[in-house]
Amino acid sequence: MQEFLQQLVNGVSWGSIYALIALGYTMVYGVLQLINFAHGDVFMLGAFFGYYFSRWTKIAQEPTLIGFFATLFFAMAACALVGIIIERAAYKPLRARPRLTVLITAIGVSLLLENGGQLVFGADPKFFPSLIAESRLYESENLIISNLPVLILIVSIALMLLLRFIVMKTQIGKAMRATAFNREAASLMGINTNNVISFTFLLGSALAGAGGILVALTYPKIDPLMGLLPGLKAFVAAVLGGIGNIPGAVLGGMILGVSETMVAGYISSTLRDAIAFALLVVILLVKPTGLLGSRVGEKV
Amino acid sequence: MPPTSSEPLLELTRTSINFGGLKAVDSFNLKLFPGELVGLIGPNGAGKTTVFNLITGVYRPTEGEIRFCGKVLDGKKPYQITACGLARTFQNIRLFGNLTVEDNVKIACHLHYQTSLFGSVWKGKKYREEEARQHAKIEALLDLFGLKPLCKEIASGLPYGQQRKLEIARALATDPQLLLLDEPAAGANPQESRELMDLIRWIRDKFKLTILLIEHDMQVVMGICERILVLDYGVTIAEGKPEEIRKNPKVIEAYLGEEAV
Amino acid sequence: MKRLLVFIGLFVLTLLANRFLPEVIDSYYVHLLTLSCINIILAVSLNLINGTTGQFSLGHAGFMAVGGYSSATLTYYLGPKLILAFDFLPAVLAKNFVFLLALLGGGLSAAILGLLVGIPSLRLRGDYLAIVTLGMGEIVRVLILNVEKIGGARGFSGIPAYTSLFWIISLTALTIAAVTSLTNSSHGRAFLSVREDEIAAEAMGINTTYYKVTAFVVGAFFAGVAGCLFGHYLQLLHPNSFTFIKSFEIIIMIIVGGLGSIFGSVIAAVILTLLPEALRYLGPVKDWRMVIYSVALIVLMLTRPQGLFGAWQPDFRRWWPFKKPQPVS
Repeated sequence: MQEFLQQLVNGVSWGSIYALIALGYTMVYGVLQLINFAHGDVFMLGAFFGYYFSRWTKIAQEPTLIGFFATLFFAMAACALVGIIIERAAYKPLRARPRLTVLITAIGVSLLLENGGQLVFGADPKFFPSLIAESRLYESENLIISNLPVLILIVSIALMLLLRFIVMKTQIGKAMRATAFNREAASLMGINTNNVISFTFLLGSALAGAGGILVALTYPKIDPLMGLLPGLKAFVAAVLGGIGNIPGAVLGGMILGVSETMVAGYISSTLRDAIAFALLVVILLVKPTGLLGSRVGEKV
Repeated sequence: MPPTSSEPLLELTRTSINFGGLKAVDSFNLKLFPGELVGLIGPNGAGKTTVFNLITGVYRPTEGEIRFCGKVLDGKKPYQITACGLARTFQNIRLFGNLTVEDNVKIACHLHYQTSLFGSVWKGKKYREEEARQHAKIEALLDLFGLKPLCKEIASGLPYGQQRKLEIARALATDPQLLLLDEPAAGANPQESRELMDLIRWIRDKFKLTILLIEHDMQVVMGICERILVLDYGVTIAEGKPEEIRKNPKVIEAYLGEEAV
Repeated sequence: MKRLLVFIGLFVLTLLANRFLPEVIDSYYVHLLTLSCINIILAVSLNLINGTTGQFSLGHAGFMAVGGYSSATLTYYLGPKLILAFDFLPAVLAKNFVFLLALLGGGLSAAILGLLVGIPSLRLRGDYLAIVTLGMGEIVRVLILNVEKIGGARGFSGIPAYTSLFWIISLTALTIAAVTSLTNSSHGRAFLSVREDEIAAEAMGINTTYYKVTAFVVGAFFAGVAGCLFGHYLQLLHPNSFTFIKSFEIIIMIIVGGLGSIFGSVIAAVILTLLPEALRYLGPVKDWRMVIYSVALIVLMLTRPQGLFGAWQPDFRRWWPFKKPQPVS
């Protein structure tokens, strides 16, 4: 039982990370029907921005809670900026083009971020400073709950609630939902869809950046290619929940995080990475629109 | 076995379809007899194309039955329904834009002769003979429509009127018994509409077809249809000969609103 | 009859090339030729699926992996026994016969995977198919990682070096010829109709699912053959060679060449095999190699998304010595 709880804690922790990244995928898909392959790499950038910021401001030397939040905020802001730049430079000019063209461009941006990262940051892994001292909140023979997974969960939930507030209760959130529903109609209603799209990228990228920081706390080894696999898995999570559906992204992330950890813990750790794809195949065969998604048909 | 004239070629019985809460077509009934030229009219959004989509298998009816040559069509996929002898054109022309005129029509010949994978690669004698036969067939067909000189042109580059004709030619290449035409006169000027009327009557006679036609152009509808059904909000509000329909107050009301009656 | 003569002629030419080419050109260039040809086979086969039939497949590396590993398993574990069984033949023939079996085995296993994946997935809409194929490629890779008998995470080494210039040249030529012939046939027209407008194709009597699966299976077959050539050339296979990045590399080739153009795929495959090698020699630029590559890709998409050749193909039929059947007027 205790081992189960341990796995559950880890699973929920990873689930929150996947959820944060998945939200970005799902929101961008909702407004643009684009699978932003570069999104996982923004997650990586978050970790690196945090790394450099905390060292530059000497927060790394004297970690404090305030310092942590400053780093988190900076990383989120920097990633948000990167997201907007990518959108304006690479995706916006291709709005009217076939989906395949934009998809290839997204792949190109992803490769650019990865290889550029290797060039600028160096390909060797760096060690993210321990901004929050790890302490054991609960300790027994089989179960250790440290403060880090709890912190990850709390911060993730806070961010998701903030997102929900923005999407549901603000003017721009309404504009986002309208644009996702029907871009042309929204623009005819006077919504500046270009700004809405940029804002969507801003939010998604900020969340991914936060994910990067939170992961780096628990797994301090960071390298420019660290976004590949989590990015792909978070994408699977978004599809699992229903791509374009915001609560779906959270649900998908949690399911993925927990199942992955359970399989790795109870069956085999080398099969861990396969779980995401197995879940993907199952959901696409059974209900392609995802757990919470809805079918949209083509007019004949 | 061709049906006798007393048996309907196409029969829809209480056919309905729901989209979410919206009943797009409600209890639609139709009996089409061989050789008939029937029109389906109604205001925009009445459900006319939805009826076509039901017949051709794009949608499955939520209630009712559809029979063609006595066989039930429900649940069959569109290509299987076409194989039964039913062909259609589309409201917004759906040609194979990047392909040539002749390839567009050749694809419709596929139905009646398929090669094996290896046959297509090796291109033995049998394959080449069949290709020649198909080529001759489609050339003759295109010639009837005046499209033969445009054989090698890319379909999307054709003028609008030629594209519509090509779509009809393509549908005919499937050797159908029943042809469903969805607004063939859309975008046509009066002269073109008159030519179209002659063309439709002519192909009905030459190819021994039964034709069901959706149209907004009243000149065409009243001019060639022997019988007309009127749909409004998914419900059949009138059925009869053109003269009857023209004077029917419910039809006038549906098109022009209550004040006009 | 004429066709048979052409085939025999080409066969002899390939044998001669196999024997004499390595003596005439430097082994480095032979190496480049080999890699280019393997990429040509991959690009042309993927182009059949993505370009001609318009299906968005992102997992081609998975088919390559299956082909490579299954053929290597055959030659490594069964090879020696088979060669003994054929000891009445001269060694060279026996060896190549075993390789032929391995090639067929590799291609067929990839094709079977294509069938298993294709049938349920090809009814999914574009983006979803992309995701499934991407996932399929990854699942294949992770499963291979977990099988010790074929090397697992250490890789499968000791694969016999059966890939010779003869096989490389003949299989590349065969792939191009077969795919071209298929594309310019009634099957090809059906594939194109699926790409152009699936709904209209169905309405004209085309069983679109059947043709989508067929294109998928044929493409997978050739990818499997490429994988077999790859494994028996490097004499080593490792799951890291078959990540989605490899799939992306092939996608980039067919996009740069022009989606739908077989000729474009061939040219782009060669260019994109040789270019990274060429950049390697530019000294300090070499670290920027991949960065330049990705920027170039983005710029290409922004400026000329139809690639080098669009869907244009040169009309080689003018040079073909056989007459096309004349239409009966």
